[in-house]
Amino acid sequence: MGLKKIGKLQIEEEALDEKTPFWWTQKICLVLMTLFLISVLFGITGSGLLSHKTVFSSDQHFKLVFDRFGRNTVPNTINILVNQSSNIVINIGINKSYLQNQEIVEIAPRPIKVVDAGDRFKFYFLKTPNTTTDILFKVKPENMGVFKGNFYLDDNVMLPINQYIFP
Amino acid sequence: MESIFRAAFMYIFLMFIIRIAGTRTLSEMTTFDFILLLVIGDASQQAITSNDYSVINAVIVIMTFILMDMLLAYVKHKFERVERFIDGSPVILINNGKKNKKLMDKACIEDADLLEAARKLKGLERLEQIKYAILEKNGEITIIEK
Repeated sequence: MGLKKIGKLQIEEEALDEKTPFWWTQKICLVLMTLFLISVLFGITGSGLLSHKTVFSSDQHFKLVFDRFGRNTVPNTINILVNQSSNIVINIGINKSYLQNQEIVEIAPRPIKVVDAGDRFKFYFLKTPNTTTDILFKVKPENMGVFKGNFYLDDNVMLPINQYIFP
Repeated sequence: MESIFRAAFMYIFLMFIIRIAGTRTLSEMTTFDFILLLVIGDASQQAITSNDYSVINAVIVIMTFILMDMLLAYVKHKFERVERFIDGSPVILINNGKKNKKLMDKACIEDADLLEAARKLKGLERLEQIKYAILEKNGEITIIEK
């Protein structure tokens, strides 16, 4: 591609057939960008229809609601629902490998005590018997990638959590 | 999801506010205008990103801006009224050697501004040498000499 002369005008001009592939690439990129933003609206990068996930135990007494997609340094919430337990005190165990890349920003209601139990931390909560208890963990990822972990109720029921944290 | 709405809202709001400010603001930028633009940029950045400083959020915001800009360019290309509303239209300040004082007042253009443009663009010395002076859509003044 050099300087061409069109009439008296000297101009650096690409031939039309050289421009066409770029125009096509531009169009394809625009379509991809639009599709990406639509998927973002649906929650592919967190907080949306595609992002919310609920896992529960076979008897449905222990339930976890969380975002399967999150963003680095942006807090996300994990909702724990426990019902029909006659215990006054329940403990929620979270394995350390899951928490090692995250900072717990908030726990509501506040646990009455936290115990380091080997491979996991146990959070003890007061519960009114035979009612549903709603516990909220707000965690801030301090890294990116796949975060896998397990949540335990009273050391016997286990639910897995699997999240992808975007950079 | 929130990032897209924040970015889209700020895009429309900024477009509206810059349009309200008028074309002259863009062309005749003083030091204070420059500082004002920096402050607007900083305030907008906070409104758009909130507390989300992740890379993916920046990607989403940039993509939203680019797509909105392209969409707007397409709409302006298709509908002349929209283009006129958003970009405005040229204003003839001197028509065939005759000053339009009313339009000059509305556009906040002084004789000195016309003379400055005349000197810069055509090397003219007096207003009488100007046949047409036009305030263009981008805020620049075009001079056509007699």
